[in-house]
Amino acid sequence: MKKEKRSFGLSIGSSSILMVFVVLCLTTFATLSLVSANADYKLSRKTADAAATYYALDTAGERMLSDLADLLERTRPAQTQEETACRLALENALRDFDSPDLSEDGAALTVSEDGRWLISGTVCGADGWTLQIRLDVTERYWLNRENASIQRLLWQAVPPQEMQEESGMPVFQPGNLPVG
Amino acid sequence: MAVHKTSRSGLFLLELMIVILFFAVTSAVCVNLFVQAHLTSTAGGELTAATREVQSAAEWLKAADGDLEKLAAQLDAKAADGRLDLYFDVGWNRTGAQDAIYTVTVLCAGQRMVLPGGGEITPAPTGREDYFSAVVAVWNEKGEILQIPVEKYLG
Repeated sequence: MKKEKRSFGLSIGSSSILMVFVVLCLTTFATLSLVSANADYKLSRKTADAAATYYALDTAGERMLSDLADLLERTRPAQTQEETACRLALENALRDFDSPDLSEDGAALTVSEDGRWLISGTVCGADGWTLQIRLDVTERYWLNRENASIQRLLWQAVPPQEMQEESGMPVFQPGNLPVG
Repeated sequence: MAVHKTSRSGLFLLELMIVILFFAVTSAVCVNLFVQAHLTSTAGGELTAATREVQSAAEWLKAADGDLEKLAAQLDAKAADGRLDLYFDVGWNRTGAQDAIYTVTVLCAGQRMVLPGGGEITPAPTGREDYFSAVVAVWNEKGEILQIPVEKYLG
């Protein structure tokens, strides 16, 4: 019996297999693209939100500084006033100092060993962010110099605790070396 | 034999038609996913660049102590009526107002601006000479992309 000749280069089912392969590839790449784009967008959103949060916090800090400058102006010592009385006056004034975004701890005065008059405080922002501030008011307050500026020694935005824990990467630590 | 050959080619044709139909449907879905990915990626890139430009303008403004004329001289732009505009093209390169796709606007206290999408820029008022308040915003024809407040005590 004579065998039947095949007239097709492509047998039945091969087009389906090819199509399944192409569709799988397309779907995989499309999903990967979307996931990657979404991750990029989320990161961009986070960056933008962090910038907005920082500047809102910075603004709150500037307002607090402005209020503090007013307070210093009101309690400015006379040239003849002695240091202890002057310090006490400022400490009392700071105890009553109330600025809208200042933390409950308020602002505190410390006099460093080298005689610098420093005021520290924390400003609370949105989402648990805080701004830690340390100011040198020696020239402005204690030395009573005209037009002397308040020096900013520390102006640091601190993220909330859980965000700090999140940012820890499992990178190499010297103490993690295997023994032996 | 002839009947067998016809049915075989008919079967192949039927399979091909189903394959093409299925492929058309799935490829339409995939193209939709690709388009969504492209749009999301573009939006992400836009937001990143907007954040960068806003931060840059904000820091320049703080360095200039809120003086718009000084800022305009630094950034090679023009300031008028408490407002300064920086124009950017689609690739975030500086350009003129005619070709602008994105605009970074610095608006000082006392001014108010309505944006295309219905948004508004209103800097907080100050009332003191040793304090400045402004808003730096990035926007395009669709509306606001990002805005941040910038304030500084000058004493």
